Amino acid sequence: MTAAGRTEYEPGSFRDRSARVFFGEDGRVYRALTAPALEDWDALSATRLFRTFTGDGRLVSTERAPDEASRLAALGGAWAAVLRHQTIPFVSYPYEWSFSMLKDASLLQLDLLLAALDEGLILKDGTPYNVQWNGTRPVFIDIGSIARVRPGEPWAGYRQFCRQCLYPLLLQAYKNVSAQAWLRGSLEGISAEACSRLMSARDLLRPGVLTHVYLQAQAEARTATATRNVKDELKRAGFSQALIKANVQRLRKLVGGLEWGQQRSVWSEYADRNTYQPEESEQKAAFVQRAAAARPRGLVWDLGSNTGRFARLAAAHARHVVAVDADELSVERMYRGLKADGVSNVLPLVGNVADPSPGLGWRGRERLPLPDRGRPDLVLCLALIHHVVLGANVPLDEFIEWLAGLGGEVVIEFVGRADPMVEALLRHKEDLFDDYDHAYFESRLAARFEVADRQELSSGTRTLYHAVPRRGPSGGA
Amino acid sequence: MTIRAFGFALLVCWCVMAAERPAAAYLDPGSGSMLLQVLLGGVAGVAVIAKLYWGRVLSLLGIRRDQPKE
Repeated sequence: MTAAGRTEYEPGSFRDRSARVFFGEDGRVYRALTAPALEDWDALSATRLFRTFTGDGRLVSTERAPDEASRLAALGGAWAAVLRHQTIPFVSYPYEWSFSMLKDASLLQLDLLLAALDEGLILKDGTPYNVQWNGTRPVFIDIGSIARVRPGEPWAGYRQFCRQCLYPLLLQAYKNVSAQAWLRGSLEGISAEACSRLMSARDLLRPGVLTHVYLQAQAEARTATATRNVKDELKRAGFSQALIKANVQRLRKLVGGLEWGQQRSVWSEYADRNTYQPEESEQKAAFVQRAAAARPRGLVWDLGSNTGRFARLAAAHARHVVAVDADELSVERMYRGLKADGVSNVLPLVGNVADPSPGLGWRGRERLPLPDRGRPDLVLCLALIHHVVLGANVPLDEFIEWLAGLGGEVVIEFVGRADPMVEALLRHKEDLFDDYDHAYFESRLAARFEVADRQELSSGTRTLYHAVPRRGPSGGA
Repeated sequence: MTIRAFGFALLVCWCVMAAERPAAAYLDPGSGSMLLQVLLGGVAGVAVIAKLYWGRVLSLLGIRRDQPKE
């Protein structure tokens, strides 16, 4: 985006100084390259790997910007070329992915690296932030991190790959500890030392723990204050690409074999064992279908998506659906189900409305909060409001204000006080929630939205609303 | 690679790292991970480990003073 003639770079793309991302006024994603980075691009774009991986969507489609000369002039500085990328529907981060999503994103990096090594190229790093999603298909987006191999040098991204991909997966597969809080707490990931301390003596016998975790932690500790130039020493001793390849092949086998054994969670069986009667469930589906189909939708959010039944309904009328649920196992099942059924425009994410992804990293802008990554045209909030207000103590009018602030239409379900789910939430809690009242809810909703459609479900405890903002949508992303 | 060769490489690398002595306060957090990649490279890594430390043994014995530069 240009403001006052100066290009604003994407705030998360500063780490690699040889390639920086910016957005064009056309909404497209561009990447400026220095002269050495341009040589890497020339090498990459001539390979079979580039054709294969962009052909099947595993690598982001990329070309030299058609209007490169004018873009270079506008950029100023020492840039040598400008690339233009295919746009990703919605940006997400590893701390929002379920186990299999992080696993698939990790495998994509290793597959790309193996193919790259065969053609004299390598990945400069090993971070899952280089992977985004087209629905449930992982896409490697950081063209700038594919570079020509420097003979005699190890894979610089190995340690980063361990910290941000391998250790989170090992902890979840071996210890059943979800890594999202770790990854959200530290963008650099989990250190070898911390991971090593979390593993028991018995875990040393499990694949990958002795070498990638324990020995790496030891090696890091023993070389932390050394003055030797290890890179030069390795070069002289004949370190070769064959070693990288052997290591990466083994890493691929290790990651490919990791599974998360969690069978049940509080919410994973909800779709089958909820308190709805079958006819009520059908009424709800028909209502969502009607609201979603009212007009073509760009971006739809489904908050509290569970395993994604309503997200799929909305997907038929939307460019892209982001389906968010706080329960990782539900999201894991949604991801596997969408993948198996080939649904191409639903992105499942782990997230909590009352504790959402914050701005993280440098200036809090390197990784963005959800609304800053694209505003929804339509938000589904089905069987959600009682969890936000009664479960997380968020004032009801603040929740409605927040929804209105997103700028889109809303399909929202009010769950009355007589509902068994509401009774369960209040069973051990003092009822200080005067604002959790059907009439008050309707008045707050009417203050910010026009109710286009309303339907009471047959149980009598739940009501659905299709609400349209009073001042019209404030523009999608 | 056979399990025996991998075990040998593991042993050699472990001994080598155990003999490492911290020198000064220069932080190079990637050094350990780089060295580990020699071990993780399998059979080919054994030769690199041997070369890596043979030079040091020669220097230690006074047979070779400096590491050759490229």
